[in-house]
Amino acid sequence: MIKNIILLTKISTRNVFENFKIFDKKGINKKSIYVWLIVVVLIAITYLSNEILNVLEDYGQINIFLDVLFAMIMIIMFMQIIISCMNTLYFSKDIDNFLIFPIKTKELLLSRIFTMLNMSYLTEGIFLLIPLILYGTFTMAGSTYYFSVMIAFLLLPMFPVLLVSSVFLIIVNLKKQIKNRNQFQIVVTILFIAIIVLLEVLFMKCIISTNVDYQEIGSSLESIVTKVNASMLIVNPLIHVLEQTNILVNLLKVLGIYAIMYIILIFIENKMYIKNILKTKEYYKQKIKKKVDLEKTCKLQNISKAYIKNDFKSLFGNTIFFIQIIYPVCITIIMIMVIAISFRLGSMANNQELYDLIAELKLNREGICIILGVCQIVFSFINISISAISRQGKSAIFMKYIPIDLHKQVLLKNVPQSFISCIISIDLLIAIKMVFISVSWINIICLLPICIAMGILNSYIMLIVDIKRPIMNWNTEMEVLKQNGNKIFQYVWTIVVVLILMYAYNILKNTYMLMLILFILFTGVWMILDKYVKIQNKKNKLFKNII
Amino acid sequence: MIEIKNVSKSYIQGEKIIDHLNLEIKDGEILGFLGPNGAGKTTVIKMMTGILGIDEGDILIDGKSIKDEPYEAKKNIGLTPDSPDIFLNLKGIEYLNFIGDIYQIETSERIKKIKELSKKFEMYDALNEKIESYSHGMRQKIIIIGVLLHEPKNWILDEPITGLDPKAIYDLKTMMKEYAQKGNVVFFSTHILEVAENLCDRVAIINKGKILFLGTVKELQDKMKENTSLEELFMEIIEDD
Repeated sequence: MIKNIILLTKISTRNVFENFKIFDKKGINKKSIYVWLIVVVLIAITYLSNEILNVLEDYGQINIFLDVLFAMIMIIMFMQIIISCMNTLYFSKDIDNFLIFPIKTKELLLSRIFTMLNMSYLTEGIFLLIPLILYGTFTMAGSTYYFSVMIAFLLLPMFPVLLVSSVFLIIVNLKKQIKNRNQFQIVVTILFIAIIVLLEVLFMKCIISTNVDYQEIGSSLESIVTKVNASMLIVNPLIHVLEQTNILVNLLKVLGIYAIMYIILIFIENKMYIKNILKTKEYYKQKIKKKVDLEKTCKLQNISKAYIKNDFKSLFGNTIFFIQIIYPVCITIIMIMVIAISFRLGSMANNQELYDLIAELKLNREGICIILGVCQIVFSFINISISAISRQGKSAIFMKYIPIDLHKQVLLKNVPQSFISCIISIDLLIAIKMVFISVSWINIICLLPICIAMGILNSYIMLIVDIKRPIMNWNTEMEVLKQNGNKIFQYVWTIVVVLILMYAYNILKNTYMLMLILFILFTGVWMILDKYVKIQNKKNKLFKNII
Repeated sequence: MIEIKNVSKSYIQGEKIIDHLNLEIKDGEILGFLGPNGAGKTTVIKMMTGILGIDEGDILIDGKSIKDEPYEAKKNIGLTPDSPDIFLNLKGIEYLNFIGDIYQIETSERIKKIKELSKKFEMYDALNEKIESYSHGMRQKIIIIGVLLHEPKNWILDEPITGLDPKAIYDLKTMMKEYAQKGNVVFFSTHILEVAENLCDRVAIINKGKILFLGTVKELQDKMKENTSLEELFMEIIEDD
């Protein structure tokens, strides 16, 4: 049995990791963009952890570090597992391939669980390991601590994996019939993520509602985080293991919890796993009896409208694209508003000192550059244009043989992200107006066209990147964004925009504020026009990789 | 009419995939494009439809150069690609409406044609389902319906028979014949020699980017040994090369 589980896990894990091309025949693939992304993230995490530990040490609050770190990593891992769980347990292509072999259901389920665990170990390796080692050096911990780190590293992801898997197994069983796989996946995943985000918002609200005193923030934060961690049963015992308090008792507690969770999982598996796998496969066999009403559905539309509508359909009509691309955008828009409202009605309403402090703030040149920089950072979370061609996969060649000018198609493909960027710009500026009450509406209205221009330019550049480096041969939609090394261009472009803003601020800091606004606006518009002309002249060359 | 004039293409410098190819397909003609794997059939089709650029020479679609007047040329082309796995997230009817909008087909004409073609291909009842739930053959059929919806003057098909059931093959062949009889060009590539044998007005055999034979099946048989099947003739030509 164990042999089979290992074999199946190996195959599935290899399928997941091969997409990232992290390893080649010689070892680590230095040409892989992911390797460099991981390196950059690791450097950033090392720097950030070091800074945070320094500040906490100065305020004598270093103990909070582990609590906050574990709370954060649990949120990241929960998100990751929720998004991939349904697919890994039920809809993965691997399952279709494995079902034909004489494999026990338990072996199949455990191999899926281990595959998710392996993915979580990668996430943990990136986000948790270095901060824990740095914490060890700050607290001058001995070798037992580092041994405990290894134990915590191995045990931590089991909790979200076992919990989410059990819940998903039950949810799928509750549905008698899965009439629409896509809708089902979207609803369940959104519900789960919404719960996590809600917890995050409450957590944020607790933090920003507290006093401005660092010492008090520290202790209040510690008590909140400890409560959050306590709800995740194994987190606090694992933290105690790292803090070298009652190591054996806490370890036994964790193992006991896992033993119970495992028994529950196996019980559920016995009752329903294979039955439900087959139920999800039946989806394709079901015929939708409703006949098409041609009189209603066939209406001649303008070419541009039809083209844009088709792009929106690819975003909203596909579960994975919806969850990976549209849902984060919705969450971002809601989060910006929720944070602004809770800050305005919570902290500011209850704290006159804070209210007066913010009311005195005037929008100056630094403020403009910071707002625009934040706007660009938020734009970098939108993945619509950067996957516009890749999302179509093999259908992308369609663009080349239909009688629509390629340049016109570029402009049309730009519409969805530009539209979303406009909404985000308005959302962000309203949020700013709500918090910084002294900022006038005229200032907000002046900033809006700049934000929109930045959004359009960002979308334009990311679209060009995807046209030049499309991922057309994917097997599952998950690969479109996961494999998309083009994301690095988004980060680079965001850095370039921030540098341009810093440069503009430096050279124009002694002139009128209007000069700064006009300079940034014209730079943005000029760059858009420049790209427009370049695409028009080199459209055939630009599309040469779409074959 | 399609005119391929002295066309060359290479992916690696110095290695020509298509080598000074010349071919003319007249209106009302069905031309079968035969060749072994890697002969360059799909490359030629991709150049004809504007998917691939042309290194040397030119391709004219009804007198319009695909290089210089791509928009005008593409208006007269309908392509059935080798892989039918496209627009899987759309319902069959959504795909057909999308094509109808791209080619600006009037509502009444669109309804009439969708009804007629989908019934002919036994796809009418499946139009409200997503393409991803279709079988390979059904996907192929919806793409063919999409092409015929806008009635291009030149119908280009890349391996159209693969994956179709015998009835669908029969219907497709009948449709190709009818389409050519209306004065349109039908150009298709295939591995299935029997299809070429009893469907084509002419066949072109391509290998290593060069046309080895161009003529009717009768001419081909006359040229080579008598009383042999097309399969044997094909093998003989390829081996001679």
